[in-house]
Amino acid sequence: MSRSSPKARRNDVQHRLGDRLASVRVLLVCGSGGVGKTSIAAAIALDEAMRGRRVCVLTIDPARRLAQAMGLDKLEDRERPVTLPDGAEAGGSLHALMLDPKTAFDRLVTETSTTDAERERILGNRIYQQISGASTGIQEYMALERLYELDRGGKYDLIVVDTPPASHARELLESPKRMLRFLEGRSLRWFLRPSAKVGRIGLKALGGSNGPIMNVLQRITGAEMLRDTSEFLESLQGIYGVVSDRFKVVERMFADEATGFLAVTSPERESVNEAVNFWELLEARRFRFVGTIVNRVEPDAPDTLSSLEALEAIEGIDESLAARLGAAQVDHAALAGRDQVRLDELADATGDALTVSVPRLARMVNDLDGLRTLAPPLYS
Amino acid sequence: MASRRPTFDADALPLGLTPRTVFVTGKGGVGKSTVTAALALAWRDAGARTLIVEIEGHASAAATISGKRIGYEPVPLGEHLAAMRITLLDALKEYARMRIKVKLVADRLVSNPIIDQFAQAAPGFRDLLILGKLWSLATEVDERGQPRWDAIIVDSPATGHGLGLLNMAGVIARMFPVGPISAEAKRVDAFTRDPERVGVVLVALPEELPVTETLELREQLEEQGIDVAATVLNGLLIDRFAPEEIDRVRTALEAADGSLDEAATHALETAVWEHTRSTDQAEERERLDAGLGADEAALLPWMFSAQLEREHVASLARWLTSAGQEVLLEQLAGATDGPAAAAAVHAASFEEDPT
Ligand SMILES: Nc1ncnc2c1ncn2[C@@H]1O[C@H](COP(=O)(O)OP(=O)(O)OP(=O)(O)O)[C@@H](O)[C@H]1O
Ligand SMILES: [Mg+2]
Repeated sequence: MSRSSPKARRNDVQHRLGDRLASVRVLLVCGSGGVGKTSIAAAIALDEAMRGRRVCVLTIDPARRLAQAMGLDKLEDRERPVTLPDGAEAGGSLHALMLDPKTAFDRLVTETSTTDAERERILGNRIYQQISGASTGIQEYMALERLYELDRGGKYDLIVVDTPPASHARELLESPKRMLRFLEGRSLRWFLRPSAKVGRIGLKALGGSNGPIMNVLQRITGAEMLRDTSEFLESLQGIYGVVSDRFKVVERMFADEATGFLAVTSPERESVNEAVNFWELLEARRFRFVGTIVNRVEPDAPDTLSSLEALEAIEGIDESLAARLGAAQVDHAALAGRDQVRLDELADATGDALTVSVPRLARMVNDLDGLRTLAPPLYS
Repeated sequence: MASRRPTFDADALPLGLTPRTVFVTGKGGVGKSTVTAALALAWRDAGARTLIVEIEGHASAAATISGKRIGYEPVPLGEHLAAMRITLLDALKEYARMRIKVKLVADRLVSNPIIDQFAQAAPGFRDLLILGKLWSLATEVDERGQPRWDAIIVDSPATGHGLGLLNMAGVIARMFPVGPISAEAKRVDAFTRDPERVGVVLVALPEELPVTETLELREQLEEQGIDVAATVLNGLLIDRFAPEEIDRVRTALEAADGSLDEAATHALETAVWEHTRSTDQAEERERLDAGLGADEAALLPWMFSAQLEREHVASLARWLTSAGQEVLLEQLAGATDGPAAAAAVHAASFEEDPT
């Protein structure tokens, strides 16, 4: 593999990240946790706002990382204006929103239920109260639900979504479909049948094709869980239609020309492989893959390292110090070399997609100025 | 059963912990899988029968130790060491078989799509199945009535989800006060809250947000009565340079004013960069220790290697013992022969057995 061609492509690409984003209205920033996804999403949102666009960034992070990065101490489930640093182009604005799944779910119920009684029945349901804030899948659904609302509001030129840290890209892509399958599927209808309420009528009274399934489920879970689950699903019955319509919109939004997906990775092998898988998934669906941001790349090292003699010859550097300078250089150059190989592999494996590397900074990014320092490597 | 616990050599025990079931958790990418593997090797070396448990859908801890494929049944990776992966469908099958005595019926019904969907969709059912499986592993005995595993180490999902997993038994017990699920949930909940048997190992990196999150998570776990057995600060750079030396390096860079070649300039800049990072790391380490109160974080050094192999993990395992921790602490404090010894850490890690 020649070292120069992927490199050249990368340079080329760095000029293009800004261009590509210009035609993007919804940007989904994906990647596993701990790779700096939140900072990258925030940095891009900030930069696009500085260029005069009206931007909203949505995050779902329980540890409030973005909140800290944006210099806000509290993000509720509401859009909050962020004061832009000096030098923003006219018309630019930035809002930040931190998803609170529980509040978002409550609001969804309130907005979509047709009567007060219906609303109260859902909000008062025991299972609802336990899962609406806590459950794993709920975060993704509510993020997409929030995205739907922000998009429909029409107030923004660009919405940047920082996806849940632990969600796999595939799960995120499939969650509208999964939700729709559930809402329109056999199992939900099955749970809504009167026969599912075993707790009330008793198992023995049951006949027909549901019998054996009921039987096994009841033995596994007990009648209470079955009955409560079925009551819970029943209480939601009135809002299925609306919710289902919304998820259809979100599904179409994924496929839209103006929706872009951005992968954020570290140079670690697993993380890079994940990005390649993600690219393949998107290609197969013909979704728009903007590119991969490889974060925390070890700073570039020269091809030949310094000799100890050369270091010792420098004024003020003695033999012992020179030896350690040399050792440190060897160690860091090895990591830099590894990262370079990974970047090349990634660029080769993802066709025309962009591969942008952001160096590992000596200091952490934790305020707006810090976020601004990410812009040059991102946009070059 | 508890009374028949074997005794272990206290000095050889990693983190000073007697073997038990631990959930290794922390932010994404902080080294959960690496610490899981290192802890497993260390416990095994101290004489414990050790099982590494991965959970479906998460990256593998066992892969750093062995290339063997692992599945729902524990696969031996060496003496006293095995690994398995909990897959939802297998756990559901096993659970159904326990409740429906006819195996064939149970298996056939579990593969029914409705039941599969129920298991995926029913609130917390998946987490309860995983916890229930861990409970049964922890209480499993061999032919002689001895516990089959002394140590079970769970490579757990990243922070948010890991907490959800540990909590779920309690949540379910509150949701369904009666019935078989409730009985199961209560038993599992009591298990996860028994500090003698179960603890969490929190892994952090010496950076601002990971440290903050680790302290937050620790507080949440304590509120829920889940024992934090240890906190591990991973990826510490051991500074090879004294501040005064960095001053000299800076002076040299300024004096050269572009006259040095690229290679020499890079060597000097790398030293400044490494020193800056390790100074920041020291601050974060202090903040973490302050937040931990009476406890102290265990430390693991950053290993300079393009890819962590088994030898590196073995080295990390030895750093986890009390002798290893002592050496590390001295070197971080510059108490031995300072930067020169730090250089030895970088180069050789922890070669000889400290005991
Ligand atoms: N002490 C260390 N020195 C050097 N490299 C390390 C160290 N600890 C972890 N790593 C490397 O950092 C990367 C992330 O580690 P690991 O996979 O253990 O993290 P994780 O927390 O399990 O990640 P995930 O959240 O993705 O499961 C790996 O490439 C690993 O080899
Ligand atoms: Mg892992």
